[in-house]
Amino acid sequence: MKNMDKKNIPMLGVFLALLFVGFIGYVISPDVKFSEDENRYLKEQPEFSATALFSGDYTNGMNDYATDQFPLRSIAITVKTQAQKLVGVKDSNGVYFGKGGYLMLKKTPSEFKEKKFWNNLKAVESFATRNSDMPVSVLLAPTAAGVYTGRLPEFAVDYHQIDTLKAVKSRLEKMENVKFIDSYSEIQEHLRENLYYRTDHHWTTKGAYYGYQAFCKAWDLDPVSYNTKKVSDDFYGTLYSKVLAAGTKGDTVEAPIIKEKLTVSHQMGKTVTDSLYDETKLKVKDKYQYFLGGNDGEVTIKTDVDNGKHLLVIKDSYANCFLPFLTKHYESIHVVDLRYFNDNLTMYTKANEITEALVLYNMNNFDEDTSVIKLMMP
Amino acid sequence: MVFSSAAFLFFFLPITLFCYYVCPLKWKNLILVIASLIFYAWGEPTYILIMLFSTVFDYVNGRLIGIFREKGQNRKAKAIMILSVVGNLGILCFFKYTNLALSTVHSLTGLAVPVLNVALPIGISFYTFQTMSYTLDVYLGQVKPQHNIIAFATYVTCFPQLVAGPIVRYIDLETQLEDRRVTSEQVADGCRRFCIGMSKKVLLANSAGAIWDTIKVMEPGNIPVTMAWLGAVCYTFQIYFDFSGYSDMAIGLGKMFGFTFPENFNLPYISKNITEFWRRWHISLSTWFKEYVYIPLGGNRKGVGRQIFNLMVVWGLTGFWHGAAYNFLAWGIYYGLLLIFEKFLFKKVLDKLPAILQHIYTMFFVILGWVLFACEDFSFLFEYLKALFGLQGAGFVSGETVYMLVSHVALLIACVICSSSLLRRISQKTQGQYRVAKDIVLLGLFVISICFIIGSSYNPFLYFRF
Repeated sequence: MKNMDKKNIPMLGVFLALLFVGFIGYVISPDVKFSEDENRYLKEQPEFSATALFSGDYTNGMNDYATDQFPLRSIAITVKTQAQKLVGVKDSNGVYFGKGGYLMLKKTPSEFKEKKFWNNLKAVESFATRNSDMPVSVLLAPTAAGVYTGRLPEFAVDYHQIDTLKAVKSRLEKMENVKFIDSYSEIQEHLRENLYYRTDHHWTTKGAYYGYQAFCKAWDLDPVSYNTKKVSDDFYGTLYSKVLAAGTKGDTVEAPIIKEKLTVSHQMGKTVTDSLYDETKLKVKDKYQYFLGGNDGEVTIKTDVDNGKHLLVIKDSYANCFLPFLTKHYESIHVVDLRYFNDNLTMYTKANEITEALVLYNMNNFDEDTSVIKLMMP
Repeated sequence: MVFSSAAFLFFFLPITLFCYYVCPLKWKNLILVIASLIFYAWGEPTYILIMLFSTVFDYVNGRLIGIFREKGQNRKAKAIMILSVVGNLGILCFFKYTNLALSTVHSLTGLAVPVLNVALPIGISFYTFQTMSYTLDVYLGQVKPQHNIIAFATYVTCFPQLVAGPIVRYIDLETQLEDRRVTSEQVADGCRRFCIGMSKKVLLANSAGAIWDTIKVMEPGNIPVTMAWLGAVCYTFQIYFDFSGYSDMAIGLGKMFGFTFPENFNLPYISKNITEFWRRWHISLSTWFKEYVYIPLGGNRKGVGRQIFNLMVVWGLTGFWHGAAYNFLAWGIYYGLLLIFEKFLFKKVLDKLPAILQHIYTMFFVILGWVLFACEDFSFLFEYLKALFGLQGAGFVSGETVYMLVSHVALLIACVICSSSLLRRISQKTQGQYRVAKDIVLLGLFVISICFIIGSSYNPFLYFRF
């Protein structure tokens, strides 16, 4: 290069330095296998072979590797989120930046899969019809964006969760053996409390407790009150993972103290413990897995209650922190997560002498879940 | 490989620049050819053969045309020229239009035709047009045949403009292929231009594209008028910043290697009529069609009837060049008709209107044009047009629309400013001043762009299909 000119030095120096330092950064920094922040495995350097090269696998692998193993990856994502927030963007990656640092899942009226929602409800109804001798409770938990409308960004519109819930209610009331558990009515009386995590898409133990109160009200039961213990105060949940918003405070996770003696068997008895809580999950990123140890296809909870009541719970993860409250009311609780449960449900119901059923999903999942439809099949 | 990827920015580019700068002058072309082949092979390892064939084919054709011309055997020279055009168009048509032709035959006749699923080699529309410009210009006596195959390969494979243009004619690069100097001024300017292009692509085009992507998957029957226009406007911005950003990056990279490529965009959205729009949009493509199709067909020298015919041919071809689907053809014809109407009917009326109305007229048709361009499925296009003109009964505005507008108001303002001449005028006024400050802004945008690239897997490149 000739005529090195002083006025061009800053541009040349910084621009080329960025490229070369970046390159060296990749070479010297060790590959990260798993990103805690993003809660997923990162792509590592692909193995070179002639076949991989000609099929394009190698080069595609290198592209993914370069994006995933960028030396300052988390910082880059945070910068992106902050830059977007700075220019007034109120959501990123499907997450609203709500008021007061609340992150909430975004689902607009046009994103709501109406058809699937009602098809899923139809599947629940057909399950109830087939089991007409059995009382069936249906609890569709509203989510943060539907409940905390005041904390949504200005002008943000959630899909009409509450109206949809009302429509569900009037439909289910026509069925004799079905009870619609009106969790929203209970929840909306406690809006000032932390009913949902600020960084995660789940309801808190408190939120779940009001769901439990609604359940009791529907069946004329006396709700048991519990003391809770704080198990973590640095929970950064899935919503945080999606945006890595700077300055987010961790959430507190609380769990009700259960005094009953329990036998909890997972996956048809593959593992058996005496607790609904999995202490090891407090060390991982997704601390909500503390409840029930995450989503297993099948969990059986035996309590020391002796009342001949055996409950079948068909659920998503919203049930995980809800189930502890039911332990005083049932002799056994049989929990099925249809996403991972591949046995015949009718046979399972018979084998466990089920007397009641509870269907518990959250409103952000019920229009997307593709496994609820399994309830259609006898 | 796309420029806006970590693999390009932190592996390919530094290694290539390093090799290029340290090696002596006579090796520079070879380094560039090797780098370009790797760049190309990155996306389509096997299709590199087509490119090598294309290079050798037109190298030989160019030499032969030169020899025959020297001997005065013009008919033989013409035959070779035709062979070259047929060969290039044959490659282009086979790889680009076979699938469409087969499915058309199938749907018209119901015959069981084989499905070949020919994959489109990246950049084929660009480099076949480039090599054709070479043999045509050798035939027309505009340029001398290139004897050095490495120099010729440098031209054909040149990675900065390989994927999305500009379509650099050989005539524009002829002298630079053998003699070019890399000065620090030029490299620094290249870096600046690259930063500008990258920011346009990553910060503006991708963000505007994300809005369009959410709107286009909605049920058209539920899209209120404002939302439909927001989507169309966002796509209008996306395609401009995507494509012109890519051209900026190509021109910037060219400068880093000592090349001066022709400009491809000149603020098309400030145009006051459609004719002006096409003088400012994808200039290298319009120039190509003008030089090698419109003028050889007789241009405007053979009467109005013939001129209208020529215009329709050029615009039909221009449309079809953009993609192997009928909406692109329709889009080309749409512009052909608009240009003819403008030229022969209402140009005089239009010129008397206030500037703002001229501008509204132009953008109205340009935006509608992009809707036509974006919707490959004609039934969806029809539904979307209904939404644009309020015939869906979905109202004028919805809460969701207001939220989208409010949330992206800064982006939309930035897009408007960057498509206007404001920044250009400021930079001309302050020429030579605030150099460091300007460079800091550009580098800042570049760093933020890198963060955006890393921070999102959302990085589709629109012009890959052409």
